[in-house]
Amino acid sequence: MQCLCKGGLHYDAPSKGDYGICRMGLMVPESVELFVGPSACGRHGALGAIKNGYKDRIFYLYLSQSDIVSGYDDIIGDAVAEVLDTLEKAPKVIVMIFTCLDDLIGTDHEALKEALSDRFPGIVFQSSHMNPIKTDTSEPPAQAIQRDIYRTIATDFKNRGIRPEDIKKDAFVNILGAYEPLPESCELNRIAPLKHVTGYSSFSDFTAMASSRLNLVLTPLGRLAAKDMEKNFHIPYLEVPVSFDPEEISESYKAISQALGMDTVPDFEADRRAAEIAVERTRALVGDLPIIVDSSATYHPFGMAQALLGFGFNVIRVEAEAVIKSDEDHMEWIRANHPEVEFYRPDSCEAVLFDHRLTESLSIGIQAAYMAKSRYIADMFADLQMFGYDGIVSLMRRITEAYQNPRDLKQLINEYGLVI
Amino acid sequence: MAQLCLYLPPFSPDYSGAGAMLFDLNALTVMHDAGGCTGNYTGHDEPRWYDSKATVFCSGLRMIDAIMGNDQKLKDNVCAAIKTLNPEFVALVGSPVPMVIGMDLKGLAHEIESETGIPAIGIETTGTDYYDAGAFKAAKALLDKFCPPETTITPPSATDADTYELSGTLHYNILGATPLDYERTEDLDHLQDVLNRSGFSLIARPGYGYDLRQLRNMGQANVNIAVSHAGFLTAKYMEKKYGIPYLCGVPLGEKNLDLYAERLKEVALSRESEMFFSESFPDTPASTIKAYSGKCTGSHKETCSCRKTGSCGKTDSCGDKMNALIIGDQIISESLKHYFRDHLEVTVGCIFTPDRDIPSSSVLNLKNEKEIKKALCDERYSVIIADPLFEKLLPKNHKKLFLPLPQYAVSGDIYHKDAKPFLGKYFDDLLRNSPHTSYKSYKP
Repeated sequence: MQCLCKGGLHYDAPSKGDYGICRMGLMVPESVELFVGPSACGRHGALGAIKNGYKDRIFYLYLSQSDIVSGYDDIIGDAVAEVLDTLEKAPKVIVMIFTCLDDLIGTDHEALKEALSDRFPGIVFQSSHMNPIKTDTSEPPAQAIQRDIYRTIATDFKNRGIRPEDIKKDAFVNILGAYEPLPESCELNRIAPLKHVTGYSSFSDFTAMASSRLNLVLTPLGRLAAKDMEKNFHIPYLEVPVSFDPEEISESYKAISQALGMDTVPDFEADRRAAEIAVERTRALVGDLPIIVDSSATYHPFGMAQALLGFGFNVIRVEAEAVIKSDEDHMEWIRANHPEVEFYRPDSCEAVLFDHRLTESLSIGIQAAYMAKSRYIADMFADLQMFGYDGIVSLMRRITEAYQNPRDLKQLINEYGLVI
Repeated sequence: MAQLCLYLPPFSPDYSGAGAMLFDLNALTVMHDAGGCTGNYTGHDEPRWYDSKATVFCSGLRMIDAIMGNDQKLKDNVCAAIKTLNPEFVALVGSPVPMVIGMDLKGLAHEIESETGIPAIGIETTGTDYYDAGAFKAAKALLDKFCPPETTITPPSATDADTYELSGTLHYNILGATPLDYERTEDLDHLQDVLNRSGFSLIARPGYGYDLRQLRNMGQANVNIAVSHAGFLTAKYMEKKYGIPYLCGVPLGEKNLDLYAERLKEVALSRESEMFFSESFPDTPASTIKAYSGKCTGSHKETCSCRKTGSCGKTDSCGDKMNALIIGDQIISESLKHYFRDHLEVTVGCIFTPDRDIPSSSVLNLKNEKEIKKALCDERYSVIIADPLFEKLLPKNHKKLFLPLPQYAVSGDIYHKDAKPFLGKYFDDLLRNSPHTSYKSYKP
């Protein structure tokens, strides 16, 4: 069993990647981005933007070595002016993305934003960072950019003199930390109406997310955003990680109901039963086919593996680049109860030896599929569209589809449009 | 000075060029960065990455290590990886943060070599230069480390002809061949086949199918071929260091292949370096380039070259050549310019590292997107040859003739499916089959 502690050189398999900071920042409606850094740093984001169809919202200010030495705060304003000249419609928000070296230079971002706001009234400026150099700090970039999405509302409110206590709450619940909204089939929709950042086309409508009565944090990505929104908008939050264990799901619904002040937990028995039926059918279909779970599919790969083992699936390996705290108990459970299950780090330097091939397997996640060369690949990424009993049904559907219609992995990776 | 880029992506950076040069070798290549730089290279600049077993890694540079100057972590991680992977050597490749904190990668490589006994090189790329500069830095570091002149028996010039008479073989290297300029390996294979049939024997083509043994023998070549700007920089360095002459430029069209081989032989035997694109070629068959050339017929009179000089003065067809702009690697562009010389009045647009040592009658140093756009939209140019992404800088209803030549260093894998080999015989096919302008409605 491989040690999953971080360290050593990192291997970047072609299947590695994420939505990317630029793509996440552009979730803010009516925003554009100005990327400020050495040209090299913007290449993956720009090519990803072209492929995914949003390059017309990202602009680049390349820094030379002399700019880096002399500081670049004072050249950003002219770049913004030039960007605005090219746009048919002025954006409501400009998200400025800075790179790793900015953390070493000490740019005064508050002063920069103030100067820009004075020069370009009516536009909200947000300083954000694509800085993997801070991955192991309290502000990892993927969490920080999620926070910054909602900070644009706080800045807008500040500009308009709206105080947190002035915000009138509504009946909605925000979903944080998920790249995509939950499907309508998810029973969570029946507890409360849900809001997700992608549900808005105008910035002014988007500010309504500050009026929600509760934030549900589905993945670790939403953690900083939730804390920030609690401070800025007085919205309480609850962490309810995506789980595939019916008991954990039941506990999550109890916690959500309590947080919403409901007297009783809604009856989701039919949903639970539907999930059980889906599990039974899928289990019968795939039989003892070896299954590999990886952290590109879910933020809690050990949790998913534990659930699948409980359902009777033949999970033989869990792949993870790191173990997040909320997944540690699951890992320990597997270690104690299923010592035959292998743990594997797909980003370790040993990974390049490719000595863990297992073609006759079904991988849940593209990282595992690449490392094992699995014949069957369940199309699942970053817990997208997963929650509750509906999430179990969805997972079973994806396993079934993978088994019945094997996908080409290279094409699948390309479709995801990931960047590192 | 900073530059604003509104439409185009950044072009391949220097560390990607270095990575491409190292890719084939059994090296422990470590990009010293936080993650994104390695991701740039492996994910967007290296078409060979998928399914490869190349040992390229990210150092995982973190804030605290950068601030505290903690080089020990990198050294420890490299030493641990050496034990696991048993590489022939170690290459440390730089990125923006090591540049900002003034890290001495060459010194660190020296320390690693001293402690492990495994050869190590440091390549001080910064992420602020282009891939051609990085590919050359890597090639130079490799040659200095593994092919020092004192271990190379340079053929004395007086005996080259005799040697050739006896063996019938001249040895050569192909320099500057990486997927960032030549995505399709057929290009280099084709060139190699043609030259091998003409009595040449390849020693190495660093960057695209070579190993350390071949690298060690590179100094024994009679002649070098530079097929890109990175290759030209390497060829000049090898001429100075090993006394090996070079032929710079590439053959385009079947008809030029024999001439290319002849010129290479002359260079090898005379030991006088030459630019292939400055040679006199026989006229290229008009039928193959008909679509991209032509004398001014009246309808194009606004864009014919006489307008530039004012020498024509005719109101109807003047018969002068039309103006064209070629954007891309400067050596490949100059070769294209020469190919079309009887049909088009070509200006080369240099978008990567400018080089005054490349003799050219008409070069625009296009330093930023604004200058690229201005050149593309210049009404004098009625023909454009460039990566399809550049067409996005033209007005949607433009009337220019656009020959798309996808280049990985510009558009990565976006036009991967459309990338065709273009050297030698393939160029005839490319012109014959080109859809002219078919990339406007690109959908992934």
